Amino acid sequence: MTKLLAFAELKDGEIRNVSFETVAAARQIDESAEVVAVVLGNENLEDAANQMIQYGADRAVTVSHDSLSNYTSDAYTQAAMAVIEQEDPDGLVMGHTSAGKDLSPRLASKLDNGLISDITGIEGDQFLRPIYSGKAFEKKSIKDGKTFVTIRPNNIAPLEIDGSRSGEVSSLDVDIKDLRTIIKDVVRKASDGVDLSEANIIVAGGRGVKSEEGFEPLHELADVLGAAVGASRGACDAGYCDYSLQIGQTGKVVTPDLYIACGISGAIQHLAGMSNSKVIVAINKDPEANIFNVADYGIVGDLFDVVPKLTEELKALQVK
Amino acid sequence: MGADKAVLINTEDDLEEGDQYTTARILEAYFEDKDVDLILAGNVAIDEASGQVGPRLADRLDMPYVTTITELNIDGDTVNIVRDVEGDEEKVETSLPLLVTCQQGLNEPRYPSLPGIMKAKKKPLEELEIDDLDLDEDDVEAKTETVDVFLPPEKEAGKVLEGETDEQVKELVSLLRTEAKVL
Repeated sequence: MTKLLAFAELKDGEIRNVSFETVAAARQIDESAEVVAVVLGNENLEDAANQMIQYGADRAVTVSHDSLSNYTSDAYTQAAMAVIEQEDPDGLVMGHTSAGKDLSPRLASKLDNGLISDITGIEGDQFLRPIYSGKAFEKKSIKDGKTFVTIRPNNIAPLEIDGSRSGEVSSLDVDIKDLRTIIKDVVRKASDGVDLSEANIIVAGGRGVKSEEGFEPLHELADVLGAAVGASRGACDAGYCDYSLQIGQTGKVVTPDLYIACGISGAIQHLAGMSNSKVIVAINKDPEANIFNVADYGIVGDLFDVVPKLTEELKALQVK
Repeated sequence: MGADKAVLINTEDDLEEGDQYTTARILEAYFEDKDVDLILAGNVAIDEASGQVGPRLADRLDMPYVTTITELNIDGDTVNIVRDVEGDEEKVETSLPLLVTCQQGLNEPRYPSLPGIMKAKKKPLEELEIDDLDLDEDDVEAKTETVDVFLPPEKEAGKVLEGETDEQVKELVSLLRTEAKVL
């Protein structure tokens, strides 16, 4: 039987959504495969492992170690390699997150294996991925060796949770040593609210927001929708918001169900980060703005007029 | 821009298709005997955007690496780095030799100056082929293959709403609920 490893990802002890998507992706690669969840960290591992099983994994292997509390390349490589050596899988699936992007090439190198990064779809043994900033797509396959892919968050839907599903959770002791990088401090800049890369709805602002205060109506709209707030590079460069909100080629790549672009012109670098969104709404004063070319719905108008009205309309609906 | 020397490893005549494994293997062969202290790589390429080559190369050279860095301070063998982790800042301490991948914000690249352009003409540019690195085609054969490259289906023109702002907003909410079904 084929065996596939699905890597969970924990952030501050909480399991991230993309973890469940790795299980679903493994099932799409081979429905009858044994899917083994891999959980690395130092707290809540048992809980995360059981959640991975409820979302479709058959069993789980955990590695608990103090040096796995925050992601570092050296510690995670040692832990992941120990699991890979024990399980000798036919394939591996990881999230294309900051940690997954950092770890997967190194594991692929150690395994002398191919790696297909940032996939958004699976068709048999062919993997779909956007190239040229989302302007084109390619299908790739692994010639020989293990099937090794990282998946873009929010593109491969998790399987339905089955609370009654159970499986074996085993722990593996790994002697993690010779760490060459140390994390001294982590400064949280991303807001406490909804995680931008996993958000279902995003309200984003561009240069048209004009100032830091200009983001206020966007936050109010986001609150009503349970959405995350994002921004274009233009808004970040102009100092209207922190770079942690940046969506685009060098910022976050997002695929929400609904993306509301306010005062964003739609430069190619920004589109690279959001054009895969399922539904795009553009609000912009300039009817010629490029963002209207990718938008499903557009309102030509002043965002400071439109956004508050949209917020009111949605609030009224919620009261009903 | 300020480099003292450039090396071009030309693979055009020797390789049909390569992937990130191929690139990392070729770079490894070049760097193997170079005794470098620091390798600055890009975060992702603009075309394939896989972000694999830096970490793969570091692994092959058995060097530590730190990706998506926005600040770099070197003091003797100690290196202090700030890296971008999905918007959060992580402060990392490590040591040379080291490979880093650079993220937006690390610095502002200068424009080449006219004297710089003139001087560049006299700087050494070494041209190599994979043969010169004692590699042959089989050593660097890609592990993946591209089956197809295509343009996404043309997106239907979006609906630009009309009327007074109030009406547009009402229509938008209704469309998002009934047609797009995202609310």
